[in-house]
Amino acid sequence: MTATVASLIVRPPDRGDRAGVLDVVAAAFESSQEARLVERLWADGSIVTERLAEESARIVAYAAISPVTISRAGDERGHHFATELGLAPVAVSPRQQNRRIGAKVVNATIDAAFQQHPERLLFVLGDHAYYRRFGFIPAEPMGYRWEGGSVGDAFQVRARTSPMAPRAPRTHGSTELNQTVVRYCDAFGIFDEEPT
Amino acid sequence: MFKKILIANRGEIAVRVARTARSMGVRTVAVFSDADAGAPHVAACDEAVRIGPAPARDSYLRQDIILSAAAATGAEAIHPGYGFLSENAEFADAVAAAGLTFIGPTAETIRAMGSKSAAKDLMEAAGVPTTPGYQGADQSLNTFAREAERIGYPVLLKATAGGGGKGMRRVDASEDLADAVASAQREGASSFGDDRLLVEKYIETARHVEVQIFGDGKGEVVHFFERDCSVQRRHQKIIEEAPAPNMPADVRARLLAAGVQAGKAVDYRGAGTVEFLYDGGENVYFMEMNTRLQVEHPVSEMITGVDLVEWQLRVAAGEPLWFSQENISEFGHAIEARIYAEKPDADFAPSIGRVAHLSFPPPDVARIDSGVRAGQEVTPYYDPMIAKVIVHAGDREAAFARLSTALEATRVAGLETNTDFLRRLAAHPAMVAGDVSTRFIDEHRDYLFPAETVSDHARAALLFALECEARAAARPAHAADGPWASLMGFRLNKPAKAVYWLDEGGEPAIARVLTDPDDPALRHAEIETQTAAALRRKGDVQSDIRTFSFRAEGTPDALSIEIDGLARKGAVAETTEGWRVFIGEASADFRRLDPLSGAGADGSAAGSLKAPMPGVVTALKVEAGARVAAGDTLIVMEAMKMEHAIKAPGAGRVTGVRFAVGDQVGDGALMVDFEPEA
Repeated sequence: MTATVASLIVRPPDRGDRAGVLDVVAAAFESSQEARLVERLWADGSIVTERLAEESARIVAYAAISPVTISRAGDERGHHFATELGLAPVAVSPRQQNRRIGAKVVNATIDAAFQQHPERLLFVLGDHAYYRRFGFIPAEPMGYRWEGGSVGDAFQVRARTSPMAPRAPRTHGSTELNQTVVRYCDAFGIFDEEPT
Repeated sequence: MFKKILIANRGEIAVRVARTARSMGVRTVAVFSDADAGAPHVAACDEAVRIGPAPARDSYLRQDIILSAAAATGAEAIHPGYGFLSENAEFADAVAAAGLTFIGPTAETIRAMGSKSAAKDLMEAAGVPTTPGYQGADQSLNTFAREAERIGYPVLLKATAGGGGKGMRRVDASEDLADAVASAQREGASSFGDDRLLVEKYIETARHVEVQIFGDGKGEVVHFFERDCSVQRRHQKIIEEAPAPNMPADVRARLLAAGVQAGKAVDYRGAGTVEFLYDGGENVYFMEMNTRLQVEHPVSEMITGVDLVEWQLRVAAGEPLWFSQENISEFGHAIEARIYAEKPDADFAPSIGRVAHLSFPPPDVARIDSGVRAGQEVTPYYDPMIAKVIVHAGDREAAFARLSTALEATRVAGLETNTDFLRRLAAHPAMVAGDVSTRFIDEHRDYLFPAETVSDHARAALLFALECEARAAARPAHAADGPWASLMGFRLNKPAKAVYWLDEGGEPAIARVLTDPDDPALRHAEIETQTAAALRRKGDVQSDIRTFSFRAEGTPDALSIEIDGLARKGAVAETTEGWRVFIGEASADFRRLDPLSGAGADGSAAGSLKAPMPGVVTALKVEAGARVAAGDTLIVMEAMKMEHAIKAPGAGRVTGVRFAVGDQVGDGALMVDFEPEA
C-alpha cells in the first residue's frame, strides 16, 4: 500500500531503508533509546506493521505497530490471555514536523494493521490532543491501564470501526474490576532502566 | 474569688479561660464530648467531665448535663466561652437558679440584645447612632419612596422577617424603587410568609468595627478601644486588628463614646462587644451587641495589657472594677489571624481530618491561642478553627511584618488550612496600607487565589527529606552517631545517584538526584512526569524534563535549600497521604506514590445511565418497573472488548429499558429510564 501526496511517498520499509529509519528515529527523539527499540523490534521479529514516509528519496518519518499483551493486574509478567496492538514509535524528522507528514504515516500504518487484524484493538501512549484525530479515546475509563501506571488520557485505544461491533462476545474483563493491564512487547524492556 | 469554675466550652477558648483561671489560683473543670476525649482543653483543666456524644446538641448544648457536671464537681461558676450557650438567656437563668454564677452579663441583657430590631430600637432611644431607616407599619410604595428620599440613596430594602440575604435589595435611585419593592415583597412572602419590608441606608465600602466594653453591672462601663474586623470570608472574620486603621481621631472618639453609651443603656456586666458599621468617612452606625467574650478579644488585650478573662472572673465574683477609663492606655498595634481547617480555593469549605503535624512560631514572635494538638482529628461537629495567631508590635506596619513571620512559622499538615491564604492576605499592599473593607477578599481575588505553583525549592526540600529518610533507613541503629554516619550515601568512584517517585501537579513523576562528584553538598535534580516520559519513549517527540541544582542542609524538621544563591528555610512534615513541604512563605503538598498501583479509573462514570461509548448490549439485568438499590447493575454492554455495567445511581425504580440484547448503542445514549426514590 503506497500513498502519494505531492512528492511524499508512504510505504513499507525494506532492508535497505533501515539505516535511514534509525536516523529519523534518533533525530526525532532526544535519546538514542527509541532507535535501539526499533532495532530490537526488528531483531525480535516483533513488528506487526510499519510504514515510512519518503520525500525526495529521503526518509522523513516512520511509524510501527507491535503486539501488546493483555493481562490481569498482578500477573503482568505471567500468563496473558490476549494480544492486541500497540502503536510505537512514531517519529518525524525534526525539520519536517508540523507538515502533517506524521498524520499520513500514522494513518497508513493503522490502516495496514487493521487490514491484517480487523478484530484487534490498537493502543497508543501519547498526547491525546494529537491522537484523538486518529480515533483514539482515553483507555483508562475503558478499563485498560498501561503497565507503567496511570497516565491520564495519554494512554489511548481504538478499534477498527467505531462503534466496534464484536461478532462474538470476547471481552478482556469488566471495567468494574479495573485491573486489565496492557503491556508492550519485550523489546520495550530497554526503557526499563526507569525506576519502578 | 471562686475556688473552682466549670468551663462550658471546648477548643482554644476553653484552654484560654483555663490558663487565666489557673494563674489566679482558681481550679477548673472541663466538659467534653466523645469526640474530644483527648483534646487539649481537657488536659488544660484540673478536672474533666464527659457530657455526651459528639454532636453539640447532645453535649456542649445540653444545659442539664452541664449543670449536673458543675454540681458533681463543686464548681461555683460557669464560664460559657463564646458560641454554644454563651448567649443563651435561658441557660444564664438556669445557672442562677442552680445557685451558681454565670460568668457573663445578666439574662435580661442577653435577651434585650438577642433581637436585632429590638436592640436597634433600644440603642436609638439611648442616642446611639443607628443606620438611618424606616421600619413602620405603613407599607405603601409612597411611604417607602418618601422615606428612601429622606434617608438618601442608595438604600437597602430588607424583609422584616428576613435573614440570609433573602428579600434584600439594594436600590440606587428612585426610579428603581417600585420594582425592587415588588420583588423584595414577593421574595419575603415566598421565603418567610411575610411581605413586610424595612428600608435602611446602604452603607458603601463598609468596614466592620467594634468596641470592646467592660461593665461592672452597676452602671460603670469602660472601653478597651476598638477592633477592625473588616476582612471576612463568608461573613466570618479571619483577620482582626486593634486599633482600627485609617480612622480619623474625632470619628474614633465618637465610636468609643457610642460603645460605652450602648453598654450603659443596659447596665452591662462583664465583657461585651458593640459592633458598628463604619462608612469610611464620618459615620458609624450601631449594628449589634455581642454579650460575650469575642473570638478576637486577644488583640484588645495585647494593646492594653489587660487580661479580659481575669476581669470577667473578678466582676462575676462581685469585685468592683479597680480602674476607670483614664487608667486604660493602649500601646502599638495588634493583629489576629485565624487558622482554619478549610479550603480557600473551594469557597472556604471546611476540611476535616487528622492534624498530622502542627508547629507554631515561638512565643516572642506571636501569641498562639490554640485548642488543637498534633494527632487530633478535626471533626465536622465543631468550628474548624485550629488556632489564633496574635502578634503585637509598635505600629501597624511592624505588626504586619511580624504576622508574616509568624504565619511562615505556622505549619499545619494533614489537612488543608487557610494558612497560605492568610500569608498572602497579610502581605497584600492594600491590607498593609489599611485599605480594608468587608469586600476585601472579593476585590483582591486574583492576588489572593493565585494559580497553584510548586517551587523548585519545595521540590528540592522534598527530595532532600526523602534522601534523609532513605539514609536513616539504611543506617544500622548502632552506627547512627558513629564515625561513618556522615559518609552514608557516599560511594567511591561513582557519583551517588538516587531515584524517587513524586507527585508533580497531581501526576506521578520520576526524580533523579545526582550528588555532584566534586561537591558533595551540591545536588542535581531531574524531574520528568510519567506522561512526559511516556511521550518521550513511545511515540511523541516532545519531552519536558525539569532540571535544577540545589544545596541542602539540616534535617527534614528544619532544613535550608539554596537554589541559584537563594536560600530558603523550611520543613517537611509527613502526612497520611504524603508530605507537606513548608518552604519560605509557601507550602505544597506531595502525595506519596505507589508506582505499581496506578490510579484507578474513575468509578463514578458507572453511576451514569448513559452508554460510556459506542458498543453492544450483552445483558439486561432488570425489566421495566423493577425497584433497585444504589449500585445495582441494570444493563451490561460491551465496548472495546470490555464489559461495562450500567448501574443504578441510587435507590429507585426503572421505568423503562430502551435497548435489547444485541442492540448497537451509540455514544452517550440513555440506556434506561430511571426514577429516583423520593
